Amino acid sequence: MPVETRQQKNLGVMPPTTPSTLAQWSKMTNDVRSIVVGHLDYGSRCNMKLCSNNDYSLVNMTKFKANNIVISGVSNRDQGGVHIEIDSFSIWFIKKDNNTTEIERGWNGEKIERYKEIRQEDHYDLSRRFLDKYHQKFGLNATSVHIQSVSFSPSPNWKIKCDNFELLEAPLDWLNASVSRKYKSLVIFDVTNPVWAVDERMLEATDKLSLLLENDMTDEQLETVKATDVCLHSKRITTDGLIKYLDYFIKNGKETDSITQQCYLVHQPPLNGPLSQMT
Amino acid sequence: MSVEPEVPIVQVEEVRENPVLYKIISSDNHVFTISEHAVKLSKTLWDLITNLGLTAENALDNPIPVENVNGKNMETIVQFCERHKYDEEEPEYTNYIREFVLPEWDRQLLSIDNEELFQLILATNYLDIQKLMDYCCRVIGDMAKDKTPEELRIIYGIPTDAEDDALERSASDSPGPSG
Repeated sequence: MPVETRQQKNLGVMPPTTPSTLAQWSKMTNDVRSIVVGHLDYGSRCNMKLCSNNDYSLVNMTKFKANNIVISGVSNRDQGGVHIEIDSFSIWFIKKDNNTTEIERGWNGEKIERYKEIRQEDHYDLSRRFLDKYHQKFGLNATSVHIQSVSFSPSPNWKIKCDNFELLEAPLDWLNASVSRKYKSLVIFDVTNPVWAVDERMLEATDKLSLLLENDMTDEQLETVKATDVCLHSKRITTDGLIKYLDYFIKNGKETDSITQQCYLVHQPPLNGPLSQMT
Repeated sequence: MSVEPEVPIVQVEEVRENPVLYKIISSDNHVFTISEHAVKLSKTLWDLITNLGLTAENALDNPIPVENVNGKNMETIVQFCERHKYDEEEPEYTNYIREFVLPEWDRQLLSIDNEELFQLILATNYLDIQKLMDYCCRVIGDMAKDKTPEELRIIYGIPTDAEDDALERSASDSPGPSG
């Protein structure tokens, strides 16, 4: 049962609104209330839906874009599963014996005991269905999306849209599911695909580009990198290519960027030979 | 009552550059002076000025009465409009309005109690100032963080379903134009 439905049972015990404040929300037009709802994070939207039937409808009618979506694998000593965070809301699908899954929900990373339930179903299927429903309703659309330590690929119909994308220890299919053409920040680390190539989207990232797995970036590609906060690992980049990038970095780097944090050179003679690592 | 003038300081350079000023009278008869660039941020006021045919010559002799907004809210609105009069035009409203950072100056301007903020929103809605509306609603939205439904109902003054029904009943029971 969804959190909202469970919480809605408590509506009956709500204290009546004090007369001094009653007028405010009621006085606003639906347009104004929609703008306020547009500023709520996911958790606040869920709580707002529980305030009254009118607010339930109002929230459902207002579009939503999360600030932050995290999809991560859970792998402790005694349990495995999937953890999904949408702003302050969290849901865990923990694998149990006999193909059962324990579902837990909570806010700000804290599990709430009364929302715990057990389902006779695989935890991947359940987490995928949750994401399917979320995708259908809002799209996987957020300012930042982080995919961490998951072994499954996204569903073919999912379209991720975000400004900041982080893919750590996960299949590169997740990046391919992203329809964003220009990122502010793009971090890719330890993808499970053995072969992958640098593409246009990586070069176009405006602020930060971290490609921590060895890749095939060339001098020509490095010359077109827009970001000034970079972390790269390519054997095809030469000293000349690096010097050109450093020139770009000096001209365009932000005050907060530090060159010692951007570039760490493992120098390989001869001087014009490839650099084994640039981070 | 006429309190002359509860207006923001208009910089000399700005006056030279943009000498057209308008006078606005709030519901409680406070008089405010506002520059042309600033007043354009309010769609309602600018439509009114255009329809009344006010010009640089006759603007100050023809104060505009705004009966739905009191002096306190009008002062905040004039300050806001003067501050943002040269801002770039807002992109079309998309309903994805959470992606801006509220500037510190505006956060301080809007650091007022809940009752006043709700009143300011009503005034802003009436005067149709999109940017101020977004900023006010951001402040209101931020109040909801980590609050339970019960707390939200108290902070926002949201009526329960029973109270909503009672309001509707009383509205339908009250005599209409012919009653």
